[in-house]
Amino acid sequence: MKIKSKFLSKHIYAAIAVFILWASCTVASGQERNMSIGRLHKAEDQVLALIRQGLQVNKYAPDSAISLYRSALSESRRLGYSRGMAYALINLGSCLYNYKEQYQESKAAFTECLPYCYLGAADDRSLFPQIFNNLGLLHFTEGYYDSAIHWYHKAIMSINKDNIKDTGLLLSVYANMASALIAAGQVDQALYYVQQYNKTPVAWKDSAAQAQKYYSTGVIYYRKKNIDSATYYWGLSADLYKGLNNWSRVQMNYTALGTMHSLEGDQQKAKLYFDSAIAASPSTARQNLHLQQGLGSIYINSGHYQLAIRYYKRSLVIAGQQGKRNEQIYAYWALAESYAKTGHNDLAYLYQRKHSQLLDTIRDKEIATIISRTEAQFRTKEISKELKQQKLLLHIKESQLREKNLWIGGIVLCGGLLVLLLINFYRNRQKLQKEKMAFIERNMEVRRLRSIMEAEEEERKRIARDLHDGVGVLLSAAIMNYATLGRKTGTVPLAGTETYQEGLDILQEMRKEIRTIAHNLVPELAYHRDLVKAIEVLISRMKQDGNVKIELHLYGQATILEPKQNDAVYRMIEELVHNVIKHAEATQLVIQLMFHDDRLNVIVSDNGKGFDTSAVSYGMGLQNLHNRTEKLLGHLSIVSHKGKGTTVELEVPYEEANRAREKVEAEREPDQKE
Amino acid sequence: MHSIKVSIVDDHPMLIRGLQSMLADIPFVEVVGAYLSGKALFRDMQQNYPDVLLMDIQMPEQGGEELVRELHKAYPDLVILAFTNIEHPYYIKSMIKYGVMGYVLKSSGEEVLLDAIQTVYKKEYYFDPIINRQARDVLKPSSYKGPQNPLLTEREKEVLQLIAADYSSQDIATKLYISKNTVDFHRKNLLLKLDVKKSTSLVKRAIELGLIF
Repeated sequence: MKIKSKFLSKHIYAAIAVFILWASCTVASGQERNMSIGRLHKAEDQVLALIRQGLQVNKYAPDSAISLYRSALSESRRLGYSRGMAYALINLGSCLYNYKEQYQESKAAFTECLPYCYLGAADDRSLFPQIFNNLGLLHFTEGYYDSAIHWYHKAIMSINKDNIKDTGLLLSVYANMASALIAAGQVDQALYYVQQYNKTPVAWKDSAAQAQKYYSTGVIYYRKKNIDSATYYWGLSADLYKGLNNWSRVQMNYTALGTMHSLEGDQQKAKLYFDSAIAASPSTARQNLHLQQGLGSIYINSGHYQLAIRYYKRSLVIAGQQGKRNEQIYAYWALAESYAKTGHNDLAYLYQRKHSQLLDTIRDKEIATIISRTEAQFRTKEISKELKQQKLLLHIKESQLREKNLWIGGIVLCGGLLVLLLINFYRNRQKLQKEKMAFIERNMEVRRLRSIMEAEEEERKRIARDLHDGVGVLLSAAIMNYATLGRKTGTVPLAGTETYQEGLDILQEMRKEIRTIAHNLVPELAYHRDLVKAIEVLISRMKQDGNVKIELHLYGQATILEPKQNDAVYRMIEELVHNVIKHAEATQLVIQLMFHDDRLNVIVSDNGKGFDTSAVSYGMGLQNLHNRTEKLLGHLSIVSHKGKGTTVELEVPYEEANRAREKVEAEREPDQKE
Repeated sequence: MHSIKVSIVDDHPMLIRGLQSMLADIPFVEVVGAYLSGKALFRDMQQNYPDVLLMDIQMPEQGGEELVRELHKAYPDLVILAFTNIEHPYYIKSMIKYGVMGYVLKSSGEEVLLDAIQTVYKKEYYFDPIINRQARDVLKPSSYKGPQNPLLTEREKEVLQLIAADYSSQDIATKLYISKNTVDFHRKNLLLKLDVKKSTSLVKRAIELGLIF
């Protein structure tokens, strides 16, 4: 009963969801094997060649790679060539895991691989930690956290023992270990591994590692119930991944954020994060198990059971494909709940039963795992045989065992923790300081990246314009000529013939395509077209990032601004809103747009800490605002007092009014001369 | 049947030639002029006055908006059909505002163009099916009334109080250490926010809403 109640807690489920996210992004690397040829015969050389070929196509054609590894495997088996077996199996396992998501087969390959490594590739010491890490990862994927921790321990020990200099692998093991410990509920131990991770020197430019570290820090904080810090670190991680154009990881961060907020009861915020998650990488959204689960979770929590059912069913399918049992159990449970709530008792019962069945199988394996761990040192192999006979007995002993385990674990943990806490107390303080410095430097980096992105955006706009206005017009002209041709050609009118029609169709298809490409190149133009909508989007985005309450007030008859002007005004408002959120420490921000007949007035005001306008030397942002205002022939005023918030007033005459005025002035000038 | 006299102004010679050869086969259309700029068009306008003018919007010397305005001033009856690649609502709106009868995209093919020429010739509006919805949205823009109780900034409240006390803009400027332009900025916003036309009604409305006492 105890175990059952643990599994029924939906918090545990969703928490597990968040952590598997992390682990599943740390892929088992089995790539560059040191396949020294040495004193090989020709046939054996060929086996290695097959594997090398497989490695080359791994990424692009996993199926061909797999069949290459399989031929290498059968050839090695025929030759009795253990080294070939070892390399073929590890690469096969990695490929199945990384590209095919066939976890069962992958695990079988790694398990089979291990003895051959001892037999035939014992000189390649780096092979062992890789396999241990991979095996840990696979156990983790299946929800056997204890076993996963055991394998990760082995991996770390073997790296240390053989003094293997593979920082990437070490980092990956630390990260995996931390996530397994978190999933097993041992947050403080996990913290230790995150710190190990932090301590391991990484090339400074490796922002992917940095981003992953931020993500894991977010996970730790979340488990420590520090929502703000978790939000902060996941946000940092998402930003870094954005800079790296790694949108599936951006999605991962937003999904974690959404899941957290959903569990905290803020379904609206959660929804916004999930929306961002989907937007970050629409193509992977449907296959993202945790995203689908999260969406189910917000709907179940807000009472939209029909919708919840849809998403949970989807998550069930994905979990089934990936062999993730805990996720399947969760989906069954949620579906049973949802159906019960909507009065479909038969379906609710069905899912409840599936839930219990799967739970039972997992429970059996769990007991096996606990036992095997305690006695693994003595006789690992016999245990499983005995287990089958002892199963009945075990059911009775189950509760006693858990208690005993708890005691042992508790004592060890307390001792370990005391030491760890003392050591880490001082270390942590220094760490925080360093973290701050690192953050400032990151900020600089982000700013640099942003300027690159802006340049790229300009370039994209230019290409879009050239395509749309240049090539597009030429094509239009070509089509007109072509249409004429169809009618004109002397005795045989071309217009009816198939070739002619096909030619015309192709031309027209081309024109459509060019239009689509041009629009895709600058999608933001589409929503910048309407200032009000663009600001609404901005606000909903900003609301996710902070605790500032943002309001938009509109007055007058909405005028569509000239595109360039529209863009400039939008950028200014964006800058102002960013400034408030970053620096003002405000809780309220109001944007007012007043559409007059001849001008647009904008007021952006906040209740933040304010600043002394006379003392502030113009920062980049403010200077930007003034420059833009000047270009718009507008007027900008900033009123701020320390502790009394800031109000920015912007006045922009409509472009057409400007042009009319210029014209009048131009006409007047010659008159004056005369 | 009387054929419709059409002129073209567009800065792409290639496109003009394409149009000319296409329209040459259409019995009810006669191309009477083709020009690479607004200036050239104006020079020839008297001699070759078209029933329908096909006009590009983006032209280097003189943009479409300005050209439409000038043409409309000089020839109020001229029927103009915008023929362009741009589908930004701003241009759709401004062209309609300055008096074009129709708006057709260059990418839309022969049928649409011919349909458009015939429709605007009858002095009826025509919009390319692709932008039809946008054009209709543009023609009846949304109006924001603002919340029931408009939100006034501190500064606006100060200005409102002083207007109620019958101060002039200049006096208010002096009193609040701001420029007269800034006072007018706030005064205009207040008029819009309280939905009134004159400063005198401003005070009355503000009292009604309980914004000043």
